[in-house]
Amino acid sequence: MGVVPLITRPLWVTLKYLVRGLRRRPATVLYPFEKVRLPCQWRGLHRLDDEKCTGCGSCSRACPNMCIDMVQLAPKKKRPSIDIGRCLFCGYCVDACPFDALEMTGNYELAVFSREELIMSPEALTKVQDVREGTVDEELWKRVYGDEPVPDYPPLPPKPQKGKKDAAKKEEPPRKDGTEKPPECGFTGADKAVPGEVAK
Amino acid sequence: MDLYSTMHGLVSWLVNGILGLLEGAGMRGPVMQLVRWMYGALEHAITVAVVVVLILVIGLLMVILMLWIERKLIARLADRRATMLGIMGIGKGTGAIQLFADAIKLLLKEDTTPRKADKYIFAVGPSILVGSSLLVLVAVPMSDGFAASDLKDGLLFAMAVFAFAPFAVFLSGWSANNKYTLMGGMRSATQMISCEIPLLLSIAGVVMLAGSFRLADIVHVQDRTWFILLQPVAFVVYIVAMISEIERIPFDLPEAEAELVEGWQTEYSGMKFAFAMMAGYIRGYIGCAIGVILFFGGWSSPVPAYTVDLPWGGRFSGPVPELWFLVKVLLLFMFLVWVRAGLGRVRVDQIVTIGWKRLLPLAMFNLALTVALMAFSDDIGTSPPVAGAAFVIPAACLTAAFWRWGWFR
Repeated sequence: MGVVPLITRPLWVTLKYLVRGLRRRPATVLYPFEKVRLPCQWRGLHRLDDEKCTGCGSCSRACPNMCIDMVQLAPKKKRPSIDIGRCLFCGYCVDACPFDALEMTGNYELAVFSREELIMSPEALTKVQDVREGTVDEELWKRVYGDEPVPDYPPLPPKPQKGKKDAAKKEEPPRKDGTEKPPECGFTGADKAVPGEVAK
Repeated sequence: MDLYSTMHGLVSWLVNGILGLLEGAGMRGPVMQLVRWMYGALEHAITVAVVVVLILVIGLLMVILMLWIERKLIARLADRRATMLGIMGIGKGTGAIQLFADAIKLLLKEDTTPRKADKYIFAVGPSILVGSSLLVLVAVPMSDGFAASDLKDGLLFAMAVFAFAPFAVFLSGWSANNKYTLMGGMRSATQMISCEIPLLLSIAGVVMLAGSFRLADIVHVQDRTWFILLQPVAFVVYIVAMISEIERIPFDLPEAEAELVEGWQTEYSGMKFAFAMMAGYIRGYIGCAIGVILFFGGWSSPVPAYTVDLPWGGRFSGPVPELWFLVKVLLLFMFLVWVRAGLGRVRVDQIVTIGWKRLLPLAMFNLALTVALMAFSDDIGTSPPVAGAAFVIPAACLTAAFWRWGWFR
C-alpha cells in the first residue's frame, strides 16, 4: 500500500496551511495596499546628490549597460541622466562615484506610460524620495506575520565620509579565515551567523 | 414542500388575479373566454415550465456558489488569498463580484471558430454537454416533492444521462481540428470507459440495500443509518470514479493544462467556453448531490423537527430539508476542492490502471459482500450457501489479484 501516503500527506499539508491561514493571515501580501519592508541593501532607483556631484563621469564609464549619459546643464556643469529602461541596477555607478553623490534608494515602482519617461533627468534624480526612509508598519506586520517578532532592521547605512573611509579600511585587519566582513545592514540573523563574527 | 403543487397554486393565483383585474376593468367577451379556455388547457404545461426554470436557476446559483467556494478555499489551502474584489473596490470584499465579472467578460468576448473546424459539430458539442448536464438536474430531487420530476428510476436516468458528457467532449475535441483538443477528447473517452463501470457497480450495492432506484426511497431507507457506514468501500469507489467522471484534479486528464493547453476546450472562446466551464460545475454539483443522496442520507437533517412562531404571524416549521441537502452537497464539494488542492494529476496509464485494476475489483468485492450480508437478512431470498459462494469466490479472486499486484507487500 505504498500509494496511501502519497494521497494522505499532501492532503495533510494543505489542511495544515488552511488552519494556519485561518489563525493568522496567509503568506501572500495584498500588494498595492500592503507592502513588505525592503532590506536596506535593496537596489532600486538611483538618487543624485547635486551638491556632491562634480560631473566627472565615472558613473557613466562604469555602467555596463551604458545607460548613464552626462548631460550638459550649464557651461561647467555636467550631471548624469539614467535610462532606467536599460539599467540593470547593478550598483556599479554607485561604487564608482568618487564623491558618493550617487546612491540607490529602495524605490521599485518604476512603471511609466512611455519609454521617454524612463530616462531620468538629473533634476528628477535629485528629487527621488527613498521609500525605505519610513518606519515599519507594525500593524501591517502583525496582520501578515502574526506574533513573529519584527526583525531588528539596522538603520540605513550612514553616508560615509570621504576621508574616514580610507582610515576605516586601514583599521580593519585582514581576517584569518578569509571571510569578508559581514555587510553593515541587511536582514538580521543571517549576518550574525557568519563564523568570523563569532571568533571576533 | 411539494414544488409542483406550490408552483401550481402560485401560477393560478397570478393568472386568475390578472384575468380578474382585466375583467374588473371591463374586458369581457369572447376574447377573455378564449384566454380562460387556453389557460385551462395550458395550466399544467405552464406550471411544469415554471418548475423547470426554478430548478434550472437553483442549479445555476449553485454553480456560482461552488465556483466561489472553490476559489476561496483552494487559495486558503495553498496559504494564499483568493480574489477579494468587492463593491467598494479591490481588496475590500469577498470576491463574489469577481464571478459575475468573469461571466460577463466571457459572454461579451468574441466567439471564434477555427477555419478548418467542423463548424456544425464544433457548435453542437458544448450544447450537448450543457444540455445533458442540465437534464440530469431534472432527476435530482432536493427533498420529497422538491424536484422537477420524481422519477421511479431516477438514479438510472441520472447516471445514464450523466454518462453522456464524454461523448460531447469527444465530439468537440474531434471537430476543432486541433491536436490538443483531439487528445483531450480521446482521453475523456478513455477515462469514461475506465471509470464508468466501477461507478455503476459501486452504486449497485447501495441500490441493493435500498431496494429501489428512486432517489427519494434511497434517502428514506437511510433514516436510521447512512449508507457510508454500511458501504464504505462503495463510497471510496464512488468518489474516486465520480471525480474522474466530472473531470476534476487529480483526474482532469481531458483538460490537463500543463500538457494539453486547455485540453478539449482549447479552441473554445467566449460563451462556448463559459458554457463548457459551467457544465463542468453543474456535473460537479450533480456528482456531489447523488453522492449525498446515496451515502449521506440526502436531505435528512441532523436537527429534530421544530416549530417557530414568526413575529409577523404564522409559524415556521423546520428543519428545511432543501437547505440541509444543499449544505451537505457543498460540504462534499469542499472535500473535492481539498483533494484538488492537495493532489497532483495522474497519468493516462495510471487512470486506466486505477479504473480497471483497482476500482473495478473493489466495487466487485463490495457487491459480493453486500450480497452475502443481505442473504442473512430477511429482505432477500438467497440461501446462505449461495450467498457464501457469492462472497467467497470473488473475495478469493480479489485476494489473489491483490497479491499479484503487490498490495500486501
